[in-house]
Order: sequence, then C-alpha cells, then structure tokens
Amino acid sequence: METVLKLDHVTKRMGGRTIIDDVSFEVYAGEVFGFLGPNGAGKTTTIKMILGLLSIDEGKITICGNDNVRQFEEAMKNVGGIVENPETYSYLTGMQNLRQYKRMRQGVTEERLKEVVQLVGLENRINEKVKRYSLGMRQRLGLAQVIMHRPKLLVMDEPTNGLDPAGIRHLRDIFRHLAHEEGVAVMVSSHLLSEMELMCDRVGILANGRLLDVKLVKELIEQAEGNKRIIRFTVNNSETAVNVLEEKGIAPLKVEGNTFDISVESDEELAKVSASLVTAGIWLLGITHQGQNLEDVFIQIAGGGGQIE
Amino acid sequence: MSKFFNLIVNELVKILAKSSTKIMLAIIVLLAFFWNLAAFINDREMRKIDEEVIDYDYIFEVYKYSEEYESMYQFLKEIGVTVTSDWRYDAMQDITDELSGTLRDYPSQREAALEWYEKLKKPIGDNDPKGYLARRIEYINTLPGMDSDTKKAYAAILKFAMENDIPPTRHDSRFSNLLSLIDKKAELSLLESMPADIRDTKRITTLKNEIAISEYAIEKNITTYLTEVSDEFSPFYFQGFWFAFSESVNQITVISLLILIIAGSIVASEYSVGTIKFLIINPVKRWKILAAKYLSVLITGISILIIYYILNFLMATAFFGLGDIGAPLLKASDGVVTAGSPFLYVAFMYLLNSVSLLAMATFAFMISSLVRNAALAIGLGVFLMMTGQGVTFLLGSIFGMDWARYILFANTDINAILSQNTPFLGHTLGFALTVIAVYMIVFLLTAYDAFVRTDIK
Repeated sequence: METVLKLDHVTKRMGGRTIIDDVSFEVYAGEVFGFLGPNGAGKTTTIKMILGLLSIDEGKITICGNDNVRQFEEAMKNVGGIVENPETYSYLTGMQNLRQYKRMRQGVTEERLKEVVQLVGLENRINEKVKRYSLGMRQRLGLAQVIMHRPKLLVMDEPTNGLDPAGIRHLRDIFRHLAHEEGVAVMVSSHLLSEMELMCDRVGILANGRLLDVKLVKELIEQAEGNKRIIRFTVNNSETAVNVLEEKGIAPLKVEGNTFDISVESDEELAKVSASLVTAGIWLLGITHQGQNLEDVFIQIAGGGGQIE
Repeated sequence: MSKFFNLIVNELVKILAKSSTKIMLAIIVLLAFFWNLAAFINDREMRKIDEEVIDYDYIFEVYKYSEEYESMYQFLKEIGVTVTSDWRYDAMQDITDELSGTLRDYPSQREAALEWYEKLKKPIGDNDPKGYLARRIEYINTLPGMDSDTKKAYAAILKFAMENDIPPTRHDSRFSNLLSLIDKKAELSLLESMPADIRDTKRITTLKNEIAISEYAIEKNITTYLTEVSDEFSPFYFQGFWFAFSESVNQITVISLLILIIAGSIVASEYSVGTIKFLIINPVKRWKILAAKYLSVLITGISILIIYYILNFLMATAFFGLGDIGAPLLKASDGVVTAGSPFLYVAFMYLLNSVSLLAMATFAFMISSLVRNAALAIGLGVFLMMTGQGVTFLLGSIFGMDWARYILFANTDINAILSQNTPFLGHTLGFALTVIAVYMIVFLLTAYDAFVRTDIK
C-alpha cells in the first residue's frame, strides 16, 4: 500500500499547553481513514498542521514524500482539504469561485471543472452568485473546489456538519468513490462514531491530543461483537425485573419506563436472564438487540477520556 | 511566473466583483462630474464679471461720480461701448485715472493734462487702437512721477502692441502679459541692484524665468498657455478647460480614501469570512499570495487614477469644449523656454499627489495583515492621513522639533516640499523620498512577517 500521508512524531504546543502530543500515523492510497475523537481532542489542530495552516513544533508531516513545511508547494500540489466550514467568496458565482482555485493549481482544464461540477451536482446553479446558495450547496461547491486538481490526499474536517441525511449519504458515496475507484487517500475527521462506521475503512482514535489506537473498522466491530452486546428488554414491570436481576448480580445499564438495557457476553447468558425474568412472573414484552457497541469499545480505548455523542 | 500572474488575476477578479468597488467607481464618476460642473459655474461667473454689460442708467442714477468720471461714462455711452471687455472701456478708464491723478497731485499741469486727455480720447472715439497706442507712446514721456527706465519699458511694450495689432486691454492675454513684464522687470532690476550678500537669488531666478516665459508667449503669439509658478508649483492658466482639468488633482485625497478601503480590507476580509484557509492550502507560498495582494492594490490604485484622469478630461471637454486643447506648457530654466505637453504635466501632478496615497495604502495594508481587521486598518489609515501632515507640521513649526522630519507624514506632501513650504530646513525631495521608501520597506516587511508566520486558527 502506497503511503500518501505520514505524520511522524508530530507535536504542537499553544500557550504553554501541549495540544498534540507525539502523534504518528499513516494514511494509504485508496482508503477512507477516519480520524475519530471527542470535541477538543485535537482533530482540527492536526488537520490544520497537515494542510500547512499551523506551524509544527516537533516532528514532521510528509505528503507523497514531500515535507509540508520545507517543500510546501510540492506537498500541497497533491492535497485538497476543507477545514471547519467550506468558505467561499459569496460575491462571486460558483464558477468564478472554482476558477479562483483553478488559477492557483496546474493542470486543471475547463472540462475538468465541468466534470467536478457534475460530480457534486451543481450544474444548474453554478453561474449563480454563491450568496444565494444554501448551506448544502456551499458544501458541495467547497468539495468541487478541493477535488478539481485530482489530489492524492483529501483531508476533510467534520464534513457532515450541518448536512441532512441525504447530503451525508451523497458525501459518503463521493468519498468511497474517490478512495476505492480513483485511489485517493481520504482522511475524514468526526466525533460521530456511527458515521465513521459507515464511511471509513480504518480509524485513528484521538483523545486529549494523543493517538490512542489505529484500527480497521472491521476489527473494531469484531472487538465489539466479541465483547458484549446490549440487549433491550421491554417488560410489564421494570422495577420488579430490575430487583430480580440485581439479586442475581446483573446490573442494568439504563432503565427507562418499562424498558431497560443490560449487557451480555453470550447467548447462554441471555437465555439465563430471560428464564429468570419469566420465572419471577414478569411478562417479557420485547427483547431487542441494540447493535454493536462501538461506543463501549471506544470508551474502553479512550479510557473514559472523552464523551462520544 | 505565470502562476504569480494568475494570483494577481484572482485578486483583481475579487476586487472588481465586490459591490463596494462598484460603489467606488460610481463615486469617482460623480466626483469628476461635480468638480467640472463647479468649475464650469465658476468660469461662467468669472466671465460674466469680465465681460460685464455696462448699466449706464444705474451708473448715472445711483452713483455720484466726480466730474471726470461722469463725463467718461457719458463719452463711453455716446461712442457705443456696452461691455467692460471693450478695449475702449479700459483705455478710457486708464486716461481718466491718470487725468484725475494729475489734477489732484500736480494742479500746476492742469492745462497740459487736459490737452493730452482730449488728444488720447480722439482715437478712442474713432475706435482706432493703433492711433491710440501711437499717441500714448508720446504721452508716456510727458507723465510726471515716473522714472525714465519705466517710461522706456512702457513705451516699448506699447510700441510692440501697436506693431503686432494687440488691443490695449487687460482682457487680451498678450497685452496683460506685456503689462506684467514691466512690473517684473522693475522688480528684477531693483533686486539685482541689492548688495550680493543679501540678494534674493531665488526670487531673481524665478523672475527671470517668468519674464522669459512671458516674452516667449508674446513673441510666439500664444494667448493661452500653462506654466509652473515656482512658488506654488501649480499650473497657471487662463481658461476654463485647463483650470478644471489640472485642478482636478486636488480630488486625489478623496480617491486616496477609496484606495485605502481596498488596501485595508484585502487581507483582513479573507480572515473575516474564513476564506484565508482555502487560499493558504493551495500550492502557493504565503509570501506570493501577500505580494499578489499588494501588487493588486497598486494596480487598482493606478487604474483608478488613470480612470479619474480620463474622466476629468472627458467632463472638462463636455463642459468647456476642446478650444484650448492646444495650449502648451511653458517651462523656463536659465532664461531658456521650452514648450511641453500640459497633459503630461497634469499626469505628473497626479503622480506627485499620489505619493501620500501610496504610503497610506501601504500602511493600511500592513495593519490589515497585522491585526486582520479591516475596519481598524481603514480607520487608522484615514485618521493618520487626515491628521498626520498637520501634526508633523505643528511639531516642526511651533515646537521646533527637528526630528519630526523623520516622521512619515512630514514627507508625504510632495507639493509642499517642492515649494520649500515645510517647517524643516533643507528638506529636499530626495530626503522625503528616502524617508518614504524606508517606511514602506518597514511596512511591507512587517506585513510579510505577520502574514507568513502566523498560525491560522
């Protein structure tokens, strides 16, 4: 696998505090890499260092083998990125905005511009002033802006912020297309675990400025499956049910009205729990599987270092 | 290189697309229009005074003149003089003034004076300027209270006017030029008679050059021309078109404000809307982006000045016509006169007045890049532009602080420096330009340092 982005013991300090502490990882061509962490973990700071917006105090970042400080122009030729919101010049039209970036990059043709406009689905409105665009349209314009020069690395900071579900799906499809069909290394940051699960091939987990782990999403899911499952019970009397379970040394995770969640490690355990409830004369109205517990895995890795939404 | 050119194109596209730029262009058009309108109204008023219709009824009824003037107006009315620009009006005024002066100061010469009065009145009555001039030359020699040199000089110009068909009236620029020659020559001979150690050599040079230009214009029969008056360093003009066109240079202060707004917001606005991030992550070094922005400000500034120059030319043409367009710019040095193009001269004046603009735009640009706040950059720029020159002048003149000459604003008024109208001794153009250059380098380095090194949060 070709390494496109490489962070090598990167450290950033601001006002005496270490914001990013000795972070190293690699992003490969053809994958969507999720950069996961709670708010304030340092995701945006790391991305800004990758894009050359912030200086690096220690370590170095290379993009396609070019140091992004000493060989800035060479390194940046292969990069597209959006930090925070995709800002555009609202007094220019969509096309004029794209031309601004076309002029700063080599090898972008008019045909390519049309192609990216089509890819992001803006062909009907591209000659309108951006001030008349909706947020979603601006985001799509921003995306066209950063992929027009066929970058080898695409870095997106919280790209799904403010998007509706359809918009998120569209974006996800574009990212997966770029990575899997065109071989782009796509790095996406997010604090939403569920989103990462659908979008990414690999995730790096950042908390308090430290990279805790880098794992394939598959591995994460396996870890979650292998560990515990959350089972939601709906009963006629949850108070009695909870008492019955607590007598057997099983603590429910959450009680809400007539439902409660417990975590079980095996099918056998689940059968035992059900049996004991039925024996106690409680009506079992529903038993549902609450999905893989990635959050649990995350909290386990992060050591409770941050809250995941 | 072509990439850098593209960066400048980017900046110019942004500047042009902003609605504030369109408003500025509208302001510039209005400014040129109203300036020329004002100049036109002023010109009309001046001409009205110059070519006033004589209201005899009013004169005879309301005013109680002395006998001589009463009969002068009677005579003018009889011979059909209706406007003050008629040569006969001036001539009658002259001889009547002289008569009443002689009667008052030299009563013993009453008879001779009255006799000459009638003699001079004759050709005026016949509307014969040549005959009048011929008699006047004779008459000058008899005038009491005038030294022989002046008499000689006066007789010479009258002779010249007679030979060249120049009407003896101040409304004719050649004749008024001839008259001014007498005064200037008299002043020159007085100055040259002073002892060498207190002789005002600067004034002598000025006078010599002015005399040379006047003689040149008379000789070549040039009625309308422009000239640099050395103590003002502004063009001297006789007619409306050139007044309106050349004095439009005074509105460059307003233009400066507009350019200051562009310079103060070009960096800061990228920060305020967040587009700076998208600018920086391109494969372009930061200093190139900054340099492209600065050059774009300069290009815009120069373009606005050129547009303003052309606009003023068009407006002045619309109001005054192109009648005077061929007027030359006369310059003299060591008594040698050269005729140049006043268009170039006005352009040069635009350039000189833009020095302060350049300095302030650079200053606002630096602040913009330093504090990333357009309002602060523009506000500070405007404030310093408005007060800076005044404050340094006060420091230099009232408080006698010589070091104040090193303050930027002591050097930005190039007109004042060229005319030596600054509170600092030996304040030369070279010194001023050096100080400005040093400040600009400091401003640009500061802007560079701030822009290139700062983290974009």
